[in-house]
Amino acid sequence: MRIVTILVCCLLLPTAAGATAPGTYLAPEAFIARTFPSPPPAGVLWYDDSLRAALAEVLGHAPHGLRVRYWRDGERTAWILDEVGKDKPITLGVVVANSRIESLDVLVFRESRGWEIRHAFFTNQFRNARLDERRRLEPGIDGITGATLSVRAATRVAAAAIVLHERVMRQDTKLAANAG
Amino acid sequence: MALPPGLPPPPKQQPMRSLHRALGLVGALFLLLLVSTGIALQHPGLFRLDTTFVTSAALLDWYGVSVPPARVFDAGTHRVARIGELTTLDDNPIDLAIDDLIGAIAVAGHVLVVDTEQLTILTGTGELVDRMSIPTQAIAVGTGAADGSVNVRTASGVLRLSEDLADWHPAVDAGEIRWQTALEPNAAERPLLEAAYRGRLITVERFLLDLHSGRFFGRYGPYFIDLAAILVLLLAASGLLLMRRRQ
Repeated sequence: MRIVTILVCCLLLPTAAGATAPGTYLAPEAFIARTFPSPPPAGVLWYDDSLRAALAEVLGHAPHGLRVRYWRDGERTAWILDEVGKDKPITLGVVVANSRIESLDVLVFRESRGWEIRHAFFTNQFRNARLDERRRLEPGIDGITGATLSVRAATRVAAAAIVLHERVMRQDTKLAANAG
Repeated sequence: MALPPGLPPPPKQQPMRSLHRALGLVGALFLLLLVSTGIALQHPGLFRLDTTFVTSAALLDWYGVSVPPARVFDAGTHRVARIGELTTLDDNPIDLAIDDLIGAIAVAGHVLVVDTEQLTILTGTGELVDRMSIPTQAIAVGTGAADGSVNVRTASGVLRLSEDLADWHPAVDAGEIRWQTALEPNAAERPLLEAAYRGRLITVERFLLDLHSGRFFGRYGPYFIDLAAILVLLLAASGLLLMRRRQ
């Protein structure tokens, strides 16, 4: 029995150590390749004042940079966004379809704590989430003890991805109307 | 000298009182140091202790800060340099995490700073435009001799940046590419880079913490502070004793 216990511990120990290590869980290129069978070229969305304000409302701070890249196929858009949890940026990949979250993945985790947000039990909560009138995710996202800041960062990014998606779709509608 | 007759003899200096006075003088100096640094350390955000850096050359020398060699890349009219972990654009520090810098290129009014992992796009004044990862670890960056395209060399081939600076594509017919090489900083740049590097290593919070704990004074500094704490304890004890005697 003791031998079996030791063997089980030896087998589980490397797994546990690996699970806590910050690192790249899914390369950004692999995320795009997984989302789109034939990946479209990246589009570029430049921030204007209104978009900057809308993002600041959901992020709690102005977005970094002057533009953001995205990938789009019809009504689906994919976003790779960075957000700081406590000290370091967490890179998340978010797919939005019809203003609802289709999937959210942790691509790169650099913080020393809060890595639990990468697991499906957490990320699955975002499926079908949308923004309500108060620009909050509906339904709400349950937190994880010990990973509060990472959970908040992921929630902010999900909301920001919907804001960005809606802007891209609206731009498209405007272009179509102008062409018509 | 004999006292005039009729005058009372001067009061004899009590040893306890003298000790208390001496302890009070020394202890007050330590208390001043501990209390002032302690109060400041309680409010690092308010006093911006964690974002303000020690720039005094004498203090940095005391800490034994040495300067690593610098590398510079020409990016049109701009110069991008790397010294230690610090990257600068025209001698101004870039407040972004940049890995091992391999080059910098000026394109359409932007400065592209390339490290082994990602491309950072900046405006000419250093404002962040965007950051994008490089699919495979980059070894070198260069411009196409014919079209000025931006290319990175990786272990699995050459990748070319799209004209809108948004995507990487394999460079099928790469043509002649002028790969960048690092330059030595010139005589005017070197002191500026060294000052920028040294001036961003030790925060005021770190300095005050070291003062507070005594580590600033070297290996035996913490024991020195312990001794000061004991002195203050003795001061309190001698004060209590004197008060009791007086009562």
